[in-house]
Amino acid sequence: MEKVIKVLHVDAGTSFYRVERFPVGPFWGPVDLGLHLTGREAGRHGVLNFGTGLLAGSIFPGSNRLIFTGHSPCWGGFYVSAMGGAGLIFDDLGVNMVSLRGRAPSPSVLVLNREHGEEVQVELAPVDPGRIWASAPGGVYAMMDHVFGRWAREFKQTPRVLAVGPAAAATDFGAIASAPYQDGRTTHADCWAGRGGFGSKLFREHNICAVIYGGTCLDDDFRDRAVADEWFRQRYEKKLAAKDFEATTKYRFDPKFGTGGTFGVNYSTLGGRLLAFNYRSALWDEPARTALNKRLVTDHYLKQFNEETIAKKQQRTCGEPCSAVCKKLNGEFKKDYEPYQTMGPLCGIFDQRAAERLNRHADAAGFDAISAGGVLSWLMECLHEGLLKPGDLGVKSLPRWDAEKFDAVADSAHNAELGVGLIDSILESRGVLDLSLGARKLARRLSRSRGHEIGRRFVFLANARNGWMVPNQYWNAGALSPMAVMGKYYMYYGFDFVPPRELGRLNAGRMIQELIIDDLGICRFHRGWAEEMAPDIVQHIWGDSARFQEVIRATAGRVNSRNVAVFWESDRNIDFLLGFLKRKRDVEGDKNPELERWIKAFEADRRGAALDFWYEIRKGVSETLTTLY
Amino acid sequence: MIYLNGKPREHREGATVREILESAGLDPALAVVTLDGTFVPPSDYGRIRPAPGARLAARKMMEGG
Ligand code: SF4
Repeated sequence: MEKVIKVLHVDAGTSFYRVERFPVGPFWGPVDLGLHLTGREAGRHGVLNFGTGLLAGSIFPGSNRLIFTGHSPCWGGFYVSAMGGAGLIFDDLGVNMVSLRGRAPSPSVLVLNREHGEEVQVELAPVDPGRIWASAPGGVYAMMDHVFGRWAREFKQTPRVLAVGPAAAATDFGAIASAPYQDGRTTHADCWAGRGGFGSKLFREHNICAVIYGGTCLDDDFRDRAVADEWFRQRYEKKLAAKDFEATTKYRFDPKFGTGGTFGVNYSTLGGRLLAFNYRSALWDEPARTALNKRLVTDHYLKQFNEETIAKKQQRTCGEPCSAVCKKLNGEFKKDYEPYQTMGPLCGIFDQRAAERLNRHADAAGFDAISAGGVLSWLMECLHEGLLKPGDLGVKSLPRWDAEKFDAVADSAHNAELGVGLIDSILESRGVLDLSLGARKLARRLSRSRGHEIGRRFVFLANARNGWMVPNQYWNAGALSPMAVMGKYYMYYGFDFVPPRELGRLNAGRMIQELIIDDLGICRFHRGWAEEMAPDIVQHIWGDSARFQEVIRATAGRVNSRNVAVFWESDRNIDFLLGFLKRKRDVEGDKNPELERWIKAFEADRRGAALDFWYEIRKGVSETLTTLY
Repeated sequence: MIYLNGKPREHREGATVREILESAGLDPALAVVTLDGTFVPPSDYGRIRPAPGARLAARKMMEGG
């Protein structure tokens, strides 16, 4: 088994490259090593690292994630972003990670190819991204097709393409996309390193608009199924495949709900926890929320999904063999909960055709879809409230946000069209919409020039001076936690009330668990066994699980040592939290005296209580991730 | 006797966290567990045996994504 981690350093400015080897033991995977490289080069170079975990190419399902790390342009701190399946072909390069530095003289495609034992061939080929993005099928999809069409024949086996879209050029929250290709055609099962703005980083800092990679290098991956079955039998009395099948039920099809995937299962269970119309639903009473959920989500948005996608079994994998088949599709449209939530109910869209139109437009532009939806819903509310005029934002209409009279099809289509217009305005910097330095900067600027009512409606997490992130779409306190990395699941996002200090500790515990599977490059949808088995697997294969866990804890501590979370800058964040707390007490009947005490504190001094709550979470995080000697 | 999510519960001495969760009908794969306020990593569910009187909290986690 691998005893070293091989990093291919590529300088995009000079095309110079070299391989550096790191021993397994002090280093274990793309997160801890990515953090090390980011810190080592800090002040000299910005680096973007992407690579696989040590289990890539093994028989463990879900072990082929491609993990991106580096300083995030939008978050303003170290970030980790994971892309499904793209590690499988990366593994054929015979290196574990690429660490990219420098800036290509002109926009380029990075080509990485390797035949058997030969060296990795590295080529930087100039392209005209504007022309490619403007060609059919548009944006990242056009870039993927162009790059695949031009270079794929140079590879002995089907390569994989990472691509960015125009959002990477115009904003700090451009993502990186990659769809597997089969028989020379895209599968439409796009996978994304969505959060953290690594598409913007790749393009703006390195002048790279796509990477194509592949090879035929065979290395020594763990492929002994009989042995793995025995490990699983010892713990679960089941073979690996059977345990994995059981643990991924929700992502495939859950008979309990008659649906599957994150979209299906989440919308089947949200009820009154639905977040809609830029979180204004958090200010409503429960009957209003449940009525909206029933009429527009359960009886329409979700129903369409179940009929079109689930009943017709339109599903795929991310590119690796996986029984979860979590990519739920309707033709070319892939449906995940969070993008179809932010560019769905959060924007006043409750119809699949409308959501497809807007999501496809944002995806083609190459946005972090969750952040894009959060920004759009905020801008829509500013229009709805008359705080901004359509002309300010380069559009012609106002949103239709009358929840009571809402027409699921016509009003959703109208709002989606407005969203499409706003995206075009962002890409073209129309009116006041300059998002080149991010949405927090824009909120600050607009609040100063047009009034604070604008900024107070934008729900986001603030980090360092300009860092920002639209939170994960779960209505709970965890989603707004002051963690060093937010916008992914390095926190506890269950729906129960947890006193904030304890929540901080839980967040820290969850962060460590998520780091374990990210560092091994395992898809978190397999965490039903992966979190529990990972240390055992490391012990069996590398014989040093204790060291691995120590490195993970140290990594969590190091990431947290860079924690520059800033207290909530938007009043709507407080509405979000207080709405959650009141709902726990008044709707779900939680009698925890701590909950009552916090609600009273909020009623007495809203902002002061919010600050105390925030700090209590932070204390819980720090006391867990800091070593006291 | 132990306390599971604040409620007293008969306890077989020596039972692991995993066994306690399963006997209460909770899916360990979807639980975020604390024992006397301390987070328990899933890899320890089969190893840790709460003592009588312990306070075990098993919170349900959403799937995410
Ligand atoms: S669950 Fe989905 S993303 Fe994860 S490995 Fe399976 S198909 Fe890929």
